[in-house]
Amino acid sequence: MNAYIMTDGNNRLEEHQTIAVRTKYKSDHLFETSKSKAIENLLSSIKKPSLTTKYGMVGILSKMRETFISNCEKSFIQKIINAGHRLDGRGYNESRKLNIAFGSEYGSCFVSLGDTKVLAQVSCEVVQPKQIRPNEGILYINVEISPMAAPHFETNRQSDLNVYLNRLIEKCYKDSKCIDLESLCIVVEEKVWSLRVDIKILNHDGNLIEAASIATLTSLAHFKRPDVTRNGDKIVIHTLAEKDPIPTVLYHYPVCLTFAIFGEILLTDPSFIEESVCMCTAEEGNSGGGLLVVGVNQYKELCLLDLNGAAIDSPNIVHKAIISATERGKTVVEYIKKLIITDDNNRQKRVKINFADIITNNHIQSLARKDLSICLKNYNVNDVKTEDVEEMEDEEVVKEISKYDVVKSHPHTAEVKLKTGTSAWIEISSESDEG
Amino acid sequence: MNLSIGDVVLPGDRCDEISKIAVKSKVLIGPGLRRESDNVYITKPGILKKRNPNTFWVDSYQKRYIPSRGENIIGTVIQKAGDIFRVDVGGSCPAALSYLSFEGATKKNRPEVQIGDVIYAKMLVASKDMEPELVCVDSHGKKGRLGVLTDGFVFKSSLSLIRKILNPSCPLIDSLKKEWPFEIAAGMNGRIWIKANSMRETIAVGNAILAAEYLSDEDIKSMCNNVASILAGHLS
Repeated sequence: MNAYIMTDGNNRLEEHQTIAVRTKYKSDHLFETSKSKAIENLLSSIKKPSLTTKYGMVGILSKMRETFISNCEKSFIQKIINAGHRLDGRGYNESRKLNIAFGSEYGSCFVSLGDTKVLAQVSCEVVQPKQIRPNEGILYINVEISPMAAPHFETNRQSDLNVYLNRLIEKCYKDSKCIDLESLCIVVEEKVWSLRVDIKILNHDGNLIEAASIATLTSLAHFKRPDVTRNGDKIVIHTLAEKDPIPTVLYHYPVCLTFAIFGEILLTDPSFIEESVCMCTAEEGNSGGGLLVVGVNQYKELCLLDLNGAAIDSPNIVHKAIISATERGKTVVEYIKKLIITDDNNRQKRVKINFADIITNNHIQSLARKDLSICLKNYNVNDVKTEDVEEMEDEEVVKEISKYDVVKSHPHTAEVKLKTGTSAWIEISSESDEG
Repeated sequence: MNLSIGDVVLPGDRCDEISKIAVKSKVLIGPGLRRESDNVYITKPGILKKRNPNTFWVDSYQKRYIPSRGENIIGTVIQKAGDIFRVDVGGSCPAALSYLSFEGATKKNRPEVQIGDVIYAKMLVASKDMEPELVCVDSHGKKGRLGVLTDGFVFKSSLSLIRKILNPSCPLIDSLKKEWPFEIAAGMNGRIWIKANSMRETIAVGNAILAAEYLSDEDIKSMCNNVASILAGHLS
């Protein structure tokens, strides 16, 4: 086993300890005793500075929390989590629904995780390489948070959260060397491709890190740069019509997953209120609370560990987090890969793909809330409607699509065709209604 | 195009009907309507409503609260500043609540309010140019139901949902209160405070309220039954 630690070069973020590690494990025997020792060593390196000062590690996230959480919300959330529930009816280990959509161009994607929504776009240009790395391309990551995400963010001002997100994603994607930067070189010391990932947070409902990292990864994996040919000293950049564009080479697919720590309890994919309550308790110095970010790739390798909040008492929590992160990381990466392949096939068939699909897909359900912010475990939005199917012609009826794709209903009413996924209103004339 | 009561209206539509009535008698126009010289225009998307005699407004979906006088709201105390508390009500700026505007409060006898407490209060002053002001007593100096809300849970919803559940004809609260006991306070600023015997019951109330947003009256009843049976454990 070879584990090496890349600590923060200039220690800019002192109050906030991060290590980026890339360790090799055999997938299934993740934490055999001998191997877990290495993790414990890593952990002790995280823990040492934080234990000296009580509030040492509470820094960045505490400043960003500007929406005020009342005492009764805090105590209620604490109580229900200790009792084994979560506000939105999820289990401890359950994530919100992940949705990924692609835009019309290569490298643009939209990721939603519950109500957290993120847009990412990769663009490229030819630039001169850095002096120290003359044969490597450049990866630049830029995260933007505007008041659109949540009202307490300001325009044109880099908030701490902004810097934190930017740095974390940079660490996850640059420092874990998942992109083959050398393949981005055109002429050594003269011309290389510079990839720029722009991440725009559209809505903030907790767990920005996970949503932003999934968006980054998806857009990078989806992106294709124009082909280049060298003709003597001249370099010709071909348009997409002339030559097929080249996909970016990714050695591995890392994703960051967030866990909220409530004492001994780990919550996967915390929502906004859970995140806030978690950081509040850490600030007040009560029980251990904090946000743990775990970066893993599809080979169940650890790429990043980041703790924000109070110090962790036992290494068991981190072990548990890493084990569940490897599981989820794998499924997320597989999902992303599958989507990219289907999207690629669709593009070859010249199917039109754009963000309009996100809107029309759920058109008929626009009045049914899928994600209730407060929900019982067994509650299902559709349960209400099944009881009176006879009188209502809603999507429940539409499910039994006849061979004509038109569903029997009252004369002169509009109906929905579900085959294409988009909604279409069809006028039924009185003749066709007979059949 | 002629607009009539109950229509879906969009910003920019002109409502001739109101201006016709206005020639003969006095007309009150509420939120979502604006007078420009002799015409009345719609400024919010929603449903045009009327109440006799001659009161018009547009019922729209909205989440941002704009303080208005006389409304009962739920806020969180965010600061103690001298002799006032600053209360976050979800508006553009925090509202002020004097510590003297509690029942039986004097300069010596201060009410016990901590930062982070949830307060059910009445909007006393709400004007465009001034900080809104709250009180926790009625005009007789009695607290009634106003004051600090302890325990329970507060959550946010749209303003239209608050109006819907506070409507006496809405069956939601009636059908819920038959199922299990709970306390509720709904602020017109889109915050609801609930408290029940157990945490699961509190979540169930919140669940039922949020689920009611887009349901018709009959559906609300069946949804309440549904939630109650989940709570009782018949469904799993």
